[in-house]
Amino acid sequence: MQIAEPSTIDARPARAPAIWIFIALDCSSFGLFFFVFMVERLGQAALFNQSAQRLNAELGFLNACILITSSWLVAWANAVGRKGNFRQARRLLMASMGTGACFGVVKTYEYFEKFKDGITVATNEFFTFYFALTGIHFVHYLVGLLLLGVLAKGPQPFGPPAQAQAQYMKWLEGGSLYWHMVDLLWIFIFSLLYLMGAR
Amino acid sequence: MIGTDSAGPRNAWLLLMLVSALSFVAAEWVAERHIAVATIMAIAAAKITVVLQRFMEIERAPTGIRHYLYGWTFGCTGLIFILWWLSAP
Repeated sequence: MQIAEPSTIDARPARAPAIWIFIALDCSSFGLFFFVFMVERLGQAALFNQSAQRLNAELGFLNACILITSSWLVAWANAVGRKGNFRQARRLLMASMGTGACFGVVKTYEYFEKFKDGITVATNEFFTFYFALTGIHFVHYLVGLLLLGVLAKGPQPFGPPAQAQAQYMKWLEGGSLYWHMVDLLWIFIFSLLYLMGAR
Repeated sequence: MIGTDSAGPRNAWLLLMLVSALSFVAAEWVAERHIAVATIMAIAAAKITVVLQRFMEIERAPTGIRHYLYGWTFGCTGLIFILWWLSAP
């Protein structure tokens, strides 16, 4: 009896649920944050809209494009890593880090601009949410960038040569999922803070 | 240089860039805010779905987590729009 060849996707092991559980929990806490933001907005929509208009939507859009591009490069690194092409995977991860670093530069400039205009976390409720949401996201981003840096070193630091590649692929998949989550959260933050009250 | 394995993520990247631009245009240029915000939130949900499916390969996640993350995406989108609508001028 002939057994059908499994497809590429079936042949890959299912991802360890730990990283998925972490992602689900982290998304839940951000979801709660979004909900509280919207509830607070109910009573003071005019203030929230006026404050949102003081944000630089162009920079928010630029950062969305940066994270999407960085995420794509990581997905690509995963695809070539699965084929055993670790040299190209490393190059793509470094490119992803470089692109991702631009997000930090833009965000830092944006914070600097706000402080220069006298806008702080205490300005009003909108800006308290703005600094809290983007700040927590920024911490996630920094952790993600650090992970990409470790992964960009290739399989060698992940154990003895016999097991290093398998270990590395596990970490590459987990680290990639984390980085995609950073991108995914920015999609909601960008829509909520920058676009909803843009006009 | 771009093989078949990377064609999926690449197409997803192009789509995400395009709809991000659409979302930005809707926010800046659509005067009717109900339409603008509905478009922004629909695009946000679509973008997250694309990231989940094409970048994160969510089909390989445990079933419960997969359903939860889809529920989170559409739940957040719906709730945000309803709460915005309640305070809309």
